[in-house]
Amino acid sequence: MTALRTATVGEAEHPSTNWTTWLRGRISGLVPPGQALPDRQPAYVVSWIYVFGVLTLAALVVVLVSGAVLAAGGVAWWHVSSLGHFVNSMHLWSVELFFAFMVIHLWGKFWMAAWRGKRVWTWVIGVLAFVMSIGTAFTGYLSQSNFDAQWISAEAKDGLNAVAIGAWFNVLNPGQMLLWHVLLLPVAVGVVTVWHIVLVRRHGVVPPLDTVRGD
Amino acid sequence: MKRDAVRASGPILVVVHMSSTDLLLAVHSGSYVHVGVINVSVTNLLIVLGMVVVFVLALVLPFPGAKDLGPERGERS
Repeated sequence: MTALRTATVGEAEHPSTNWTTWLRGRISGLVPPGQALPDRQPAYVVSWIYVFGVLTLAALVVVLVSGAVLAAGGVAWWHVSSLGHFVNSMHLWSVELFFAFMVIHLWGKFWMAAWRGKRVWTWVIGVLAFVMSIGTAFTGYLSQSNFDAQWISAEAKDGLNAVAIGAWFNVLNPGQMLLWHVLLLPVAVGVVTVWHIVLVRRHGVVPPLDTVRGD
Repeated sequence: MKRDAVRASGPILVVVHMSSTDLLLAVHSGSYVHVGVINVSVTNLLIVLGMVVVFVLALVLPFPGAKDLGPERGERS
C-alpha cells in the first residue's frame, strides 16, 4: 500500500503561486489583525455623532430583509393583505430612517473633514454608496405598481432622456425598473457598503479636528 | 372653476367648467414653501429641520460612559 502523503502541495521550499493562496493573503490583509470586528475604540468615539454610521447600517439590514419579504409575497400580497401593508410600510419607513441616518452621518463626517489621514477613499466610497442608494430608492418608487409609480415614471422620463440614458434605463418599463430595484442596485449598494466598512476598519475611525496626539 | 346658470324653459341648467388644473387642485396636495428656486413641501421641510435638530443633539448630548474616560476626554467627545 502506498504511504499516505500528508504534506501540503506547494508548501515545500517554493512559495505558493496558487490563486487561492494569493486571495487568502489579500483577504486576510484587508484590515490590520484584530481590526475586522474590534472590541475597543479610540476615546474620541464616545459621542452620539459616531453612532449614525452603524444606525445607517442597521436600517439597511431592515430595508433588505423587508424587501426580501415583499419580493417573496408579490405585488398582490403587499397591496391587499394587512400583513403585506405592514411589511410594505416597514420597507418604506426603514428606507426613510436609512436616508435620515445616512445624511446625518454625512453631515458629521463633512464637518469633521473625515477624509483626513489618508481616508479620502473612505469618503469617496461613502459618497458612491449615497448616490447608489438614491437610485435604488428611485426605482423603488417606480416599482410600487400604483398610480404614484406611473406619475413619477412619466415625470422622470423626459429628464432621463435629456441626459441620454433613457434608452438603456427606461423608467416607463416597470419590469426593467423592478429588476434594477430588487437585484442590480441592491447588490451594488451592498458591495459598496462592505467596501466602505472595510476601508473604515482598515484606516480607523477619523478623530475629531481638535484631537491631540495620544488620545 | 366657473359656474354659468342658464335659464331655460324648464329647470335651471348649471354648467360647471372644470379644467384639468381644477381636477388636480381638487386633490389635497399639501402646503408648500416657495422661496426663489426652492420649492419644498411643509412636510419635507419639517423632516429636514427635525434632522438638523437630531444632528445638533448628537453633538451636544453626553454619550453614556463618557465620564468613565475622565473629565478631559469626556468633554472632548
